[in-house]
Amino acid sequence: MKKLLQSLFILLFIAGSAMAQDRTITGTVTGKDDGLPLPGVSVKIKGATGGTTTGADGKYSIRISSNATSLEFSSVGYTSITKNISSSSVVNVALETDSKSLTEVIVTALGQKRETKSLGYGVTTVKNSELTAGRSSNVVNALAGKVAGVKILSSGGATGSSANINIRQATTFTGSNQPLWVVDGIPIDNGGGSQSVNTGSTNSNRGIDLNQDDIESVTILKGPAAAVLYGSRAVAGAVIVTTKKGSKGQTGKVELSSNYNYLEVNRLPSYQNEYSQGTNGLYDSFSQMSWGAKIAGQTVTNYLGNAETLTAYPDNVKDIFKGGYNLQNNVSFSGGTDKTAYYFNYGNFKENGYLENNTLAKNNFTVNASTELSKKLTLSASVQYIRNNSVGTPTGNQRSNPLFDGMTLPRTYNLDNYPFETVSGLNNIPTSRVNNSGYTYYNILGTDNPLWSIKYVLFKQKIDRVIGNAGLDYKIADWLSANYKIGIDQYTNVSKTINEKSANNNQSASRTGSIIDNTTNRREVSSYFNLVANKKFLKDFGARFLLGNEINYRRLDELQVTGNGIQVAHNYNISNTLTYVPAQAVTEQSLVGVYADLSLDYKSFAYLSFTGRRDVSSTFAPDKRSYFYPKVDATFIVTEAFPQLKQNDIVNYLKIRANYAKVGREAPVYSTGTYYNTVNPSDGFGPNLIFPFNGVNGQTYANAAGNINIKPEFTASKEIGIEGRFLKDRLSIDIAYYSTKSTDIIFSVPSAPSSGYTSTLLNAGTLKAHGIELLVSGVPLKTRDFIWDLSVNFTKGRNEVVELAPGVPFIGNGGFTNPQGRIVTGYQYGTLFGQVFKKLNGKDVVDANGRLSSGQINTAELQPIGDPNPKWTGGVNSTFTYKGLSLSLFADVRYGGDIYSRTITDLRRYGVAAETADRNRLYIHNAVYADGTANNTLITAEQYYSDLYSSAAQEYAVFDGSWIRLREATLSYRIPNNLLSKLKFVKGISVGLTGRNLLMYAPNFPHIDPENNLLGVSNGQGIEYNGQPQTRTYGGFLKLTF
Amino acid sequence: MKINIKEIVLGVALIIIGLSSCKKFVDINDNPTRLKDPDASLILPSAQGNLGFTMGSDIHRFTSLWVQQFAAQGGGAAQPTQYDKYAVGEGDINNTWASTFAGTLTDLQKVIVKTKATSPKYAGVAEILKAYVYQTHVDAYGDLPYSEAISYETNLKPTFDGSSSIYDNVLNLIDEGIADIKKASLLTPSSDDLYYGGDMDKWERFGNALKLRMYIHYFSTNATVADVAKGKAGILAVLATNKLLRANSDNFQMRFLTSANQTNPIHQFEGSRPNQFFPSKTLVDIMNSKNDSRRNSFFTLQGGVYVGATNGIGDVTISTAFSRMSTYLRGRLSSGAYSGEAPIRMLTFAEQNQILAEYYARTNGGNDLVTADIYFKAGITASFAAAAEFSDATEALAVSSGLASYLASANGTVTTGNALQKIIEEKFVSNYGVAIEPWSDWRRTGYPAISPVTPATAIPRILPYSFNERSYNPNTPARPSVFVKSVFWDK
Repeated sequence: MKKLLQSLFILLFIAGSAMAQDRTITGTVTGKDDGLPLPGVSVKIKGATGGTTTGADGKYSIRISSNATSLEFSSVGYTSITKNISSSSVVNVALETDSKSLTEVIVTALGQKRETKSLGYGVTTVKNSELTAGRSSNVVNALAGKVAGVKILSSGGATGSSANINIRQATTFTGSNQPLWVVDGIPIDNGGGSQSVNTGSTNSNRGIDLNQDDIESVTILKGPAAAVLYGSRAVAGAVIVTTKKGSKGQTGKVELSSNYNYLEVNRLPSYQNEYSQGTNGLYDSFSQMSWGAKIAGQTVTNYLGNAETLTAYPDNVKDIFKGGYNLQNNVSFSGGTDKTAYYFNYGNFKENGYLENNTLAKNNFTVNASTELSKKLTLSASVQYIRNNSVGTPTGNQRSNPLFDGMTLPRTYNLDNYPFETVSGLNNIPTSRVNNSGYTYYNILGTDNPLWSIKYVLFKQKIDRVIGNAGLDYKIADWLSANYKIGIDQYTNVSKTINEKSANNNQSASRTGSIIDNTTNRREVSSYFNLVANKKFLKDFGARFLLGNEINYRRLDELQVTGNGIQVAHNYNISNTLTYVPAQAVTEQSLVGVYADLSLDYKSFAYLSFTGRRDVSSTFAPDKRSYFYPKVDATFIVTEAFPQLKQNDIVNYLKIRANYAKVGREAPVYSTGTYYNTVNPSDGFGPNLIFPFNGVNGQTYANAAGNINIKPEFTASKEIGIEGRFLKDRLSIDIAYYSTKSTDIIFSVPSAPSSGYTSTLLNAGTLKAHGIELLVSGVPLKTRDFIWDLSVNFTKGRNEVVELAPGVPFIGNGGFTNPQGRIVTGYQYGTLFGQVFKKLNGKDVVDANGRLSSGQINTAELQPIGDPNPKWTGGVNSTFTYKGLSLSLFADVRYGGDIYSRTITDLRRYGVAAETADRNRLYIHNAVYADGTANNTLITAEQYYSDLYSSAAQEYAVFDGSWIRLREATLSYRIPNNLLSKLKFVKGISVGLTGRNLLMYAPNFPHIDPENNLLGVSNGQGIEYNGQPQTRTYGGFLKLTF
Repeated sequence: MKINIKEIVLGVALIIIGLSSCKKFVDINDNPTRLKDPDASLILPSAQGNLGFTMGSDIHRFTSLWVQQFAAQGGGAAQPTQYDKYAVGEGDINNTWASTFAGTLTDLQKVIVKTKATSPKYAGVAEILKAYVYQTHVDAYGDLPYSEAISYETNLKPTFDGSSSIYDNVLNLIDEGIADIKKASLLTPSSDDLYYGGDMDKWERFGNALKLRMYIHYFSTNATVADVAKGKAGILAVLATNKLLRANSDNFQMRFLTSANQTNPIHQFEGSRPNQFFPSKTLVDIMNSKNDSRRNSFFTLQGGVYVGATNGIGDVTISTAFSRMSTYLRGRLSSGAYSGEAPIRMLTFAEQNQILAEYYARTNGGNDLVTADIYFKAGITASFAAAAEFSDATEALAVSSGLASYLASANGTVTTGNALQKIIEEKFVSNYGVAIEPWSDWRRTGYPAISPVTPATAIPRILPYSFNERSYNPNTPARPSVFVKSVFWDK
């Protein structure tokens, strides 16, 4: 950041004219930290006008008059220093970095560099060091817990898992609530990552393609006010990624870094190891349950028909998971001349997950360069080429998910004791309860052998991606500049889904197998033209005016062939299948925006800014597609207005900010019309009918109706915030309160199927949210060599679905028929609904046998069973630095937020969870009979757990997902410069140890890590369904600078 | 201020290029890969495919479990075991309901509107199909949206029409359809007609058979004199057309293919949810008691005999020691695998014969046991022939060799006293794999005599309405219980 600030400082504040002076003083300005020369440092004569700046080598030369007494050295990002002039003609200075510089500049929307203090809205910046600590393969995960108001939820621990990012809660019902991603001023795609419930494998959000080591900083623009300049696409906020750049005048620098981490499951269930596979206290070699016989070394006949000594295998589940690793290597060159700056990086990342075959390999090449073509014209360009190859494992509600039954293996069943594939590499699952030596798995319900599906049911993806931009910056006059930037984000995603012959999932009809070849091309081109005027007037007033235009075009072209019926096993060529189903989807959309922003300031303590933007979006009918929206924000810096306030050691800085903004949102592409689709009759059990059928194609009129009258939906937001620094800048506080209200929400309003449509697209509904964000940071302890930095963030928010459409009581928001996330009037967004037992006076009603059998379930209406929205979240970052040694610990807390867990349900119902071992006593449901009298029927443990955790009723399967976790820990050591000076070429060496997810405490969530989401990147949260558990990683890094 | 001309030129050029042709740039909101108005020859197969699939899917499972042609297994987590205990919830209906209304009926409506004026043969076929959909669905659900249904944006909350009035409308619709298919038509269905390959004569015959099925429904245990009169008049009128199904080749059914995901849905379910759906003890025992040789293709042997699963206990007492469905429903068997090509049968020649047998056997109908016996035997013969359709030579022989003795025995002859029971039980067997109708027969006649599963005290007489329909259509009537008689003929 600081180098960037410097260059900017040069650009904006070079001023002055030469005056007659008496003698010349020269010197070198260096950074106190690294001793390297600092270019662009302003050198001024105190009490006089005029001055100079240091050159690329940090050297300066200034002529002074005889009455000059001292020189002032200042540079953005450094604490200014004043040096008295003695008789010496050489004045060398070492500047100390100042992280809290008043003049800190931040990159906001459209790459506009603004002084942080002038901003009337919430922004938070996360630095590179915070993104690479405790390495995660996904940059989104690296943001988790670090920014108040930003909720990150990883979908699971599989390599390449997606992570959901949500800024300041949901603002729309069924559209995307993901923020816009912008890299170096150009929007990029962070799509993907949503998981289908019944099919598919781990699926990454495309932000995973970015290399964290390339990123200088990530700035989060929270909410509509901050992101308004990005228009319709940034209603949900924006994530502004700034990549590393070289600096003009910086001598060439080579950096090598390497980071290795070992990876393992962070939490596995506690199992009982006393009772065998089976039911009713009897061993049964085909049972999924572990309600069998007490294990006492007896001999039994296993499902293969062989005699076997009954033995408990405490680690049978643990053994499915192997240790994995990730390794990131980078080599970068950066530097510049007095006119140019360049940065090149090659990054290589490889991760092998804890399941075999689950891998991710990334190669990132990045070049950033800029050059001053003339004093007025600067050209800059940046290109990233990314190649990302990954292999995923099936997830979700399907029998090829290795954890579908893998987490609940019978306690006396050890996968490794039996062959997991036939001699021809197939899966042979029993279809009847007849012992057969050819079987590969005991599971009579047809679940694939976990080891078999891990080996053979795969999802392979290859992404080739280019993100690039080129820009021209022209300084028309001192006060007026124009810039133009055009950028592209283009990728080709070639994937192959392999449902090997004999796999039993929804894409493998009658276990005949299938192959899905998909090629998706996505292209997004964005162009920006901006005119920026800066003018001071009437002495104390300043004005800044921006006028600009955005042109954005997005195209997605997807071609897919599904080949059903694999003929020869293990040959994954699409031509090795029997029937083919081709599909193509092309979507194109464009947006043209014109915007203006006027910012006024008075004496650098009062700021007022107005923004207006008009968008023309292709997604609306011609008469609806042009729409306008405004923003206004105000900032008042109390300590600048009343300087006497900061003349003490208590209050150093106090700022109040407020804003109001309204942003319109686009409609889904092609939603102004209703189309036909190729028909594909299906039910929820897997059977389906593919057309063309018997040489005939079939077109069915869409169930979801479009609407020519659809108009933009709007989200209005209000925000007020206070920022302050106290106790000699040792403590800083940033508090924000916001509220948002979305109206005319565009969504598919469900309709009665008898109308011919199951939904129609309408502008209906209102959604409100409000919340508070708090960031407190400070330096509790600081001595000459020891510094303790502490920062705490806190987020609390509530939302309310105010209304849906008339006559629409709810809309589904993901999940199953039950449980289901729903959007329901009067409830928080995404509240979980499910089936519950019939109630009498608040108690469950048992049947005559004292059981909560299926007949006792209230099937009439689903009831609310949980709220997946956490009550509050927080993060604590603590860094202890002693000389070159630094220990950084980052913990995050989530309080509340309910999660339906299928894994826990299964663990208990199947009798494998440790708590089910208590079987020498009888149980009783705390319930009443139908007549209201208290239940007094005693039942067995098996009956008790089967009743409460039956998959048909979910009310006891919802758990509080609160957690505290040590998300990241880094211990690093930078070898001091004086030791390095002996090594001539090496300018810096850092080594360290890092860890991620090292400790986790979830008091109300048994057995597994609550951070898991079936639906991945989705509006639907709070459903865990036999998901792949989270990981813990630990390792070390080495960084060399030459 | 010094201005560099080259820089100005560059800037102006960029602006001009950047801003040009804005209107065209945003005029791209038409989906290039999807159709807005396909030909009827593309829509008709969609409706037929959807219908054929639906009748072998959820609605077949619900109704065949309830009438005990099938029984569910696999433990409480296997949904069919819940259906088998009559726990079919509104949510379970969503899929089949939406497939029918927003799928089949919508597409049929599109075909009718597109072709009524110029290509009435298409419209006529669509009308007869629509009549079949309403006949079966009224029998399953009672009152349904009919007159206001499928009105799209103009009426998102259609009212429900009474089941009796829908029957009247549907009977007229069949006449209208038969009239339409006889008209001159610009376009004529051919291979895009997945059921009859564009054979209009067969469509007419099916239309009449459908009317027979509807009219026989007016004969129920407590039918009024008026009901009976209406049924009788209707059947006589249909008989007078002399245009009825003539053989199994006229069956109203959807044929499936052997390729993956193009096989019949009953077969597919057996693949995706093995060990959950077995022939019921009720059905198997009836056939066992008659030593019925159709068992050879209907079921597999289990330990050398035919064993059906008991209804209503598959959630707790888990076993797979039962006979399974065989070639009749799953298609040809070769090296242990079924081809899956067997049709989903929706109204067969055998059923038509049993309808007429019932009509003639009824004293308030034809009152002619001799004619009834002729139709009865014809129905049995047709069913035996169909039973061997996918059998290999050995199995075909085993099936057909039992026909003569079956016909000659008391099982193949209707006699005074128990004629109705014999006919309906026979129909129960020959309608193995046919959705809804066996359950309708039981509701009308009480045959076959089946007992409710434990601990229920009654057998359901109606399906719940779809949860989505009820949630989004305030005109949906209340449906407090599935045990209440709700279809007008269920008396």
